[in-house]
Amino acid sequence: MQEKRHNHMTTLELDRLLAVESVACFGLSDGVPKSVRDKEVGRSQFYWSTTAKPRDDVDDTGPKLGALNEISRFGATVTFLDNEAAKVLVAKYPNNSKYVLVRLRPTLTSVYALIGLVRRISKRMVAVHGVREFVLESGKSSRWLVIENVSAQVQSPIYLSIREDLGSTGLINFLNESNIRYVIPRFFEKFPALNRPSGGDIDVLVADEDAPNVRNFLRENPGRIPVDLHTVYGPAPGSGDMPYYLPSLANSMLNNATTGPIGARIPSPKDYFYSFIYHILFHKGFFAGIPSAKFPGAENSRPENDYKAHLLAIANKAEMKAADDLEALERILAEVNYVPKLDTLAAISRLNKWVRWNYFAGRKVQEIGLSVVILKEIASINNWVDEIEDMVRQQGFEIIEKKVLTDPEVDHFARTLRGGNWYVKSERKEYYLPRTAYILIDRKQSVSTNARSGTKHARIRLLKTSLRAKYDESLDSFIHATDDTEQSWEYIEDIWPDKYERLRDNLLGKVEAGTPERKSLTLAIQTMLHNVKERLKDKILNSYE
Amino acid sequence: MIEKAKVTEILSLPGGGKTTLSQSLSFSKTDRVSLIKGRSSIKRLSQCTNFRDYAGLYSHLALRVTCWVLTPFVLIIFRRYLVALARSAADVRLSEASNSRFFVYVVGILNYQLIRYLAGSLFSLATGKTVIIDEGFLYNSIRLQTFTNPAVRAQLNDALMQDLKPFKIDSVWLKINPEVAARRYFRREAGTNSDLNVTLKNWQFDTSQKNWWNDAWLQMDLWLAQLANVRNSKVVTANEDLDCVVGNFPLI
Repeated sequence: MQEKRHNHMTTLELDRLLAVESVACFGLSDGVPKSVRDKEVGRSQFYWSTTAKPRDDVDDTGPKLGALNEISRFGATVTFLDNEAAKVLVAKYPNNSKYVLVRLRPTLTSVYALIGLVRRISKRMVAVHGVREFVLESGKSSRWLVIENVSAQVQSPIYLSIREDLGSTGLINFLNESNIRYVIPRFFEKFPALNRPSGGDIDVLVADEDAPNVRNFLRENPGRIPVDLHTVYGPAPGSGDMPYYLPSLANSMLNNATTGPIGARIPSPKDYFYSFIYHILFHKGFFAGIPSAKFPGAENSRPENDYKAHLLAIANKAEMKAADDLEALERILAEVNYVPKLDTLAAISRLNKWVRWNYFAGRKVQEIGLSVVILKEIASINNWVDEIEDMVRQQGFEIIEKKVLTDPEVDHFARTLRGGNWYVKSERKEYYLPRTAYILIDRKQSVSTNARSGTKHARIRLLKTSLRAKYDESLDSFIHATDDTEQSWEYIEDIWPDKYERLRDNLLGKVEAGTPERKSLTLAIQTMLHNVKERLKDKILNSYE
Repeated sequence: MIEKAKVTEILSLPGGGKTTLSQSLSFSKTDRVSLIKGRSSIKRLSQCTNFRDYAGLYSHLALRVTCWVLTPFVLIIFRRYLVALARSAADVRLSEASNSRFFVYVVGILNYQLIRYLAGSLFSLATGKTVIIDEGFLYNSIRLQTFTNPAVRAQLNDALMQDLKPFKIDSVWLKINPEVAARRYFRREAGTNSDLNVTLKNWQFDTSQKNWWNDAWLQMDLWLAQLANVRNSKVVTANEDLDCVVGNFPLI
């Protein structure tokens, strides 16, 4: 009885979200659910299956589904997965969506999806709320499995909308009257009109503490104009769940904002210049249509905006000098320390080919099995620290340095490390700030063939997974670790600046002089099973029926 | 016109249009050309995200029985090259991968190419058609050069060329401006799921400079010219504006 009531509540909530919040459909082949197509408020996006055939009764004029791993970046509140898109239940799952609806079809993809679903249910990450029927625009009926993301990483969506009658003026009036700390980061020049009359949106950057207020306003006034609500520290799906801007840049934009058209708060000319370059490089990459000196020809020949001309105009106003290629623009940002650190870039690179190629392609790093591990406050509160240290040593890691951060250091590193992203779903956010930092060296590195940069095969990831399995499997992890040696050096330079040079000399010498330990059978099997699991995921995601 | 040649390869720079041209020739009305595709299998290898380095590729090859059935023949036919590899391995690191892994990779890839060559020859014999092998033995020699340490690259390639002499493979060098080829290459890579990181990590070019690609494509163009010279290849020029070949293509 109680379950029935719960399902009824879910149905009501789902209907409400479908009506007013953002919806994205992926892998469509025989039409969009009619209720989504007819949606009058909120955002809706449709991506067709790569195997979809043209039909007379369906309007399939939309983009084809690109790489499956892009699905998670949309951050829609409700996500529909049809055909090959259902494979993301295995990996690259859209954790940001509140509800995920998977089309029921008797195909091999459904088998893969089922495996992923069972795993997620067993980990209590999702709950299934039965099957919903939707009439497609072709008139055909379709059945969809309703999955609720119990542990949705972002319960506060950033992709919202506003009514046309309110428009940019209504939004700006609300922001100003409510004393919200905000800035319109770009494309405010034509306000109250949108930069692009058709398909244009409004971006807003607000201080984290003001975001709920703005979100409520937009939720009360949903409409056809898309609004992207970004915060300084909140994760942005389009930036690999890292903050939308580097927090130092975002804070500068908020602090130095001036008044622009229709009274909107806009960045100062210099901040506008730097933030627009940041937008080009780290949000758009090749899609901005600006040439790359390192990868000529890779730029999109038809960008959605004329970014180059716009940048020139901004540069003129700021009395700064723009550059002609992406790499030269990157150097401009590097001079003012607005280039993210490697771990942030690694997250952004999942969705941005220029970042992936520029920072990681052809990178030949001396991987010495170095890691910086950061335990969050909750580990100290629960007295896990000593046990964790023992477990770390048992797994073949040597603790080279340990530092308990002071309160000012916690504040500082929470803003700078990990791109400033220490966001958790939990209400006790202060429990999840960095507290204890370690430098570890993997004594079994030389026999660990898969300790590779940025992949899930590295032993440090295995360690992290086993620690989390033992202490806390919730998505609000109590531990953060760098993925490879190069990232670790960046962290060490920040956390142990006075010891950096000495540690570097010592560690490199230690690794060269050290004798590799033999890999134990348990470790070999563990590594092998982990690799098989990861490869299977890749295989499923890359296979086509 | 190539009269007796039955197995043919089109040689060109990455982005030069080898695969496109091979496919269009195999679809042409002459009905005289068949194609053994290369990209589908090669690309599948390089596109899979788990093939981030030789370790992944090695594991994959290790699982493909077809890549090992001709090993005894590979060891005999390519003895000069493999001995040269072994000797060089004593002094230098041959590639991005460890020397033993690279050696196994080379044996695997030679197995794979040998199978394709034999299949192409048999098919040609049975049907009387000219068979184009996309990215076959000859192009593979360029690929291997991009992978190997510059210090031993030339001597290894000489040995490989010696070993490849008995193979009756005709070749057509599709000449193209290196800059145009590079642009096409990056455009293609940007528009697909393929992982350029894999390629660039293994290429023994310094990719840190902004115009690295210019030197890399010029270098590969030079290797192609040398290969075309050694193999007495026919030469055609790509019309870069029209994306087609200038003049008559020798297979038609």
